[in-house]
Amino acid sequence: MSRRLRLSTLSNEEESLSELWEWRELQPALINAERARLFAALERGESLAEPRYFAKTKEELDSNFAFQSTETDLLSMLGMFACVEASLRVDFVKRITYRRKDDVSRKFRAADKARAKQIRLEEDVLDVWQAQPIAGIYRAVSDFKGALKLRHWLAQGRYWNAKLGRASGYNALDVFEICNRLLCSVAAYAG
Amino acid sequence: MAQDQLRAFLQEKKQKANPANIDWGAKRDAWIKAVNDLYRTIEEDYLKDAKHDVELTRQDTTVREFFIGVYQVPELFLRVGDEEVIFSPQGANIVGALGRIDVTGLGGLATIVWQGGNHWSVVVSRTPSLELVELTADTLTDVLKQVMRP
Repeated sequence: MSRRLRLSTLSNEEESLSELWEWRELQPALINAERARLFAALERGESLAEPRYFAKTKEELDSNFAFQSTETDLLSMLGMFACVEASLRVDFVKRITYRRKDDVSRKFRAADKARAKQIRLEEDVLDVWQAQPIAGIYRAVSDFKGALKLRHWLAQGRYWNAKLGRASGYNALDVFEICNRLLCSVAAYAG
Repeated sequence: MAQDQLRAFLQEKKQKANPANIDWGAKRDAWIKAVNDLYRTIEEDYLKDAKHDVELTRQDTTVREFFIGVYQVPELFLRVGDEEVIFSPQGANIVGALGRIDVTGLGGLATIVWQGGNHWSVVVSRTPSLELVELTADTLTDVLKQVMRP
């Protein structure tokens, strides 16, 4: 596939990190509103139509809402990793298409020539960025690579006991900050 | 001043505490009666031809429910050979029905719900859509097959 043609395959549908964070912030409010609606109906002795709640006790509903909150956090983290990957890969395609002369673009073209469509995020993209003389990027890429263990665990169905990149684990805000730092560092590149 | 505010807050909460004027005590008593009636139907009707093959016993258990409080209700133990199935009431204050009994055995769990009068149903599925079948001698057999060892 030619480089121009590859540019035409981009969907322009990738989410921004800030949109994703707004989505993540809205979910607890929606969950709490649903919880309040449900418990008010239970207190009034009303019947509810939604089969997902059928025959559940208040304790089971509470446990179910706690699950919803946890699940929202985990899915938002996966979404943030995907958002960064999309942003980096779109930047990769644009750099090889427009044949810019900066160091990152030249290294991307070399990787593209060597591997064609098998571009690897860590080796072909992140390592190139990490080697650039941009303030804070080494640490930003390093933190992101560390968090990729969490990304893989989430994306592959969480079926193993994850040993994450740091002992304290990650919450959604940690992942947002790691992702945001990396994207800001890349955006600061003048090439 | 602070005590006045606290008293006003608690009075307001008390006034709002039972907006629907539900008689939770009556709801509890109706539920306990429905459970006892169901056990009697199981013993005297559904299992009348199998009396020599099963052993049925009842034992009170304590249930704690929001709004209703703490009360005693019997569990039903159905023993066949070396296997036991327990009918365990979970409560009257549940979504979409008037009460729920979980039926557990070595093979799994089934749920039956009370829908008023002598009307009990087995929950076949909740998602993607709700499917209930009326509890009868036939569907009780299906429940027992589901919760007992194959």
